[in-house]
Amino acid sequence: MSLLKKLPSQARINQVKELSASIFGHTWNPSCKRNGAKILKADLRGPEISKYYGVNDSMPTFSDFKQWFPELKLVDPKEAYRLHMVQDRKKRNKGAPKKKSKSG
Amino acid sequence: MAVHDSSISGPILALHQVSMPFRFPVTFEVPKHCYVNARVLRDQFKRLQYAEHEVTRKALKYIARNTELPPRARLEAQLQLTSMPKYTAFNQIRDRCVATGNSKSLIRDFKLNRTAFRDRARAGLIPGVKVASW
Repeated sequence: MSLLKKLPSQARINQVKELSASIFGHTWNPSCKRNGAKILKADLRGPEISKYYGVNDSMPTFSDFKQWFPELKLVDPKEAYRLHMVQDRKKRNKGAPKKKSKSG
Repeated sequence: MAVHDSSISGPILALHQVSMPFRFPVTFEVPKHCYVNARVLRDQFKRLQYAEHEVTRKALKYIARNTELPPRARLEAQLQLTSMPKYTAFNQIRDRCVATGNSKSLIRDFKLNRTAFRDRARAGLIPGVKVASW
């Protein structure tokens, strides 16, 4: 093909760059104007953040099994232990203090 | 000491009233698969509210930051953004330990406090983690 005697003008090169950016989905902002594009470009991270403590529906809990199979009369050992300790403390007069009434 | 009638009937009446109102403006499900305490609840509420309002906040921030828009629109957007409730802001959210609810000395990869991590790792509950020695 024909050889270039000199490079095209800077304006022409910029046109090429602009076109290339539009083709490949890059940003083109030669004057570095602050147009807030970086805010729109960033991904939304709401869903990831709201799932930090886990999704409740992802796994059933013991109470779910108790609800689904009441005939099995399942007993949660951890809960049973906790209730046993609460009972013990109450026997020794170390139970939780009575809830203060609103009028008090 | 005068005893007013209302003070006696107060607690008795309360039993017949509506159960305690939810302590946040919006009702949400309490997390089931981690340690829950008041602070974890508050953080979870903030996370859910952030997720709900994220798009609105981003849009307002964009309008406020875009120098090519008319200044009045930018100012209005900025004011609206600051008037949004603070529980919708991202910087109010703080990662907490999933085992103890502690927000300090957190190891992000495990979502655990350093002590909870140590307890679980030594019990063999964290796959692939063993006591280092080399």
